[in-house]
Amino acid sequence: MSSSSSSSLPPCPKKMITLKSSDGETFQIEETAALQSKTLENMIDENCASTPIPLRSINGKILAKVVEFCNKHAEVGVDAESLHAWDAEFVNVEYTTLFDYILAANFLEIPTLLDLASGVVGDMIKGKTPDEIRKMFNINDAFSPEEEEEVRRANQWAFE
Amino acid sequence: MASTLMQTRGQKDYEDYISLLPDCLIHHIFSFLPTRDVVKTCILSKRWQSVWTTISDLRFSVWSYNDPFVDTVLMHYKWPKVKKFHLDIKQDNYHSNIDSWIHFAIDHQVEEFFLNLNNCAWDIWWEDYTWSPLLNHCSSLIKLCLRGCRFSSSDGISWSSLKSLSIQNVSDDVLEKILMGSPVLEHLHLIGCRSVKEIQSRSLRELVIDACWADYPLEISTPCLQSLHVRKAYFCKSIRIIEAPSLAKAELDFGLAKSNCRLVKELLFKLQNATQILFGAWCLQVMLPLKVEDVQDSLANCKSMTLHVPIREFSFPAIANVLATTPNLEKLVIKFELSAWDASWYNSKLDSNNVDPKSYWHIKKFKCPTRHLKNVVIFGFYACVRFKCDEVFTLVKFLLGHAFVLENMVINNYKLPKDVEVVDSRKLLEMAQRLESYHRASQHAAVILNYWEEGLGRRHHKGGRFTTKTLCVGHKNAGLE
Repeated sequence: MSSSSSSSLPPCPKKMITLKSSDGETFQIEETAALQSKTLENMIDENCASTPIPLRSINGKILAKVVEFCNKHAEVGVDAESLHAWDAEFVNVEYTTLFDYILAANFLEIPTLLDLASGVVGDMIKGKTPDEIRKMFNINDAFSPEEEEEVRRANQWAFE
Repeated sequence: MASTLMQTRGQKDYEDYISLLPDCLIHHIFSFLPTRDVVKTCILSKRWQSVWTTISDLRFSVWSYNDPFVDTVLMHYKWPKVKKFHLDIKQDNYHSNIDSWIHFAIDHQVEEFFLNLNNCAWDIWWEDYTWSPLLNHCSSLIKLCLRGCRFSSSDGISWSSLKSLSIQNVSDDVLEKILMGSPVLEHLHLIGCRSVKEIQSRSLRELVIDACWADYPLEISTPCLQSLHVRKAYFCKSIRIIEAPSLAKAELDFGLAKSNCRLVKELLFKLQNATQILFGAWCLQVMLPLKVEDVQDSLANCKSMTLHVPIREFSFPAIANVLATTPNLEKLVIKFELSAWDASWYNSKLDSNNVDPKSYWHIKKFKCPTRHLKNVVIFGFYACVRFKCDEVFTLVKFLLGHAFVLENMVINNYKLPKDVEVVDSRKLLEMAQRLESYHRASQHAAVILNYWEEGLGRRHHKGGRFTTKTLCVGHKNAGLE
């Protein structure tokens, strides 16, 4: 009932909010799309979203992608299958960018994006040997061979 | 937190970025991994040595009954709480261990519990493990998924925080207890349940009924239900929606032993507020005997309709009937499917109802069912043509000729089976010419043909040697891409 009465009303102008990246770029995003971010939702609720919101931890390149993600996921009438394909393409990026997505999604509290990017990193780790994982992510600060042997012995049960 | 990390990263020149993530985010990545992989990260580097010891999500797959891994991890576990506990068990002599693990989870106020008992080799669900009665009163549970185990106790159930439940093979009386004892349950997924008679809940928002069957009419009484999905189910006497005024999304794909016009009309009436509807092959069976006048405009709020229909001529009168019920439809998706069962079923149905396949596209019967139709997507078109089901052209001709605001008609290639869907270029050109010759009510309408082309050994492409090509007919940008 309510849906039919609201759809007959003239469309009200879209409410936009402005986000400002760490390098000073500004991005407009519809309020309905921004609500996927709990951080932004809180700011909107507290009327702190009327001026550009500075996001000092997210650069323009990443913020552009985050806005793109929120817009896509706020679209009406996208079927699950095509959204899934879109998501897969979205995270088909270098792993360093994945970590930028994870940090941005964590800061802005966008669970869908956080899960999507974390899941991809998880898939990269799954079934790999420690050596392969170190190589893949450039993990330094490694143990000396003796230390490694020691840690391995202490956690022997995990490697059986 | 995030900002300092990003700055650190800038200084460190993109080196070892993953190790700079705070523990909580590494744990989040871990939550997508089996615990076996998580524990092994302890030897990656000094930074990683103890990260795993503070995880709150546990995910085990157990293959062999003398594997001490689960018990050892639980022994090392440090937190008073467990957020997620996933157990996937592929061996069947584990009962005592399962109980002790369930107790561990309950003691640690588990929020999300997933127990899957199946025999990996045959995909057979165990019938003999009865879940621990302790689980019946676990108030910390928010999400619960149980596969392959039984409920036997006459005990009541009290899941006071449970929001999402996926459960297999429960009887009507157990389900009643579950629904009574779960006052905030929003999402319910039932799989392979026999003879469920009634689903009554004041909190339920989403209901998925998978592969269930019932001898009785299944009655659904759910004042807050927004989305209903019935898949691969079989009922002797239909589904009766007693109360679901908020239903916006309905997917009805089930078989029915006896078609009953009164029940079908009643069901359509209950879907009157739904904006997105999917009808499975079943709808054809029940729509055929209905008179268009009886159902016309009954789904006035439906904006998006998906139909799964068997490739048979008899499907088309039913498609016409469905269109007559949805005067405000904006998007129509038709998936033609191959199924021997469907074919014989509808064959007999057609004979008994004496439908004249020539008469049903008579436009006079409908006021104007395609007035708002903007998008049409058809899957299985090429298979229809291959099986000489020429009626599909009549359908396309009808839609093009009567949809005044049509923007796109997309004829899509199916993922599988490709050998049925592949067309040679001569046949494709014939099709395109035929489609181009049809009158279009909308000037802006484009017909887009996506088709498979056998490529030349592009093995790296998923799906082997086939690539998707596009042909656009009768539009400004017409031509091969």
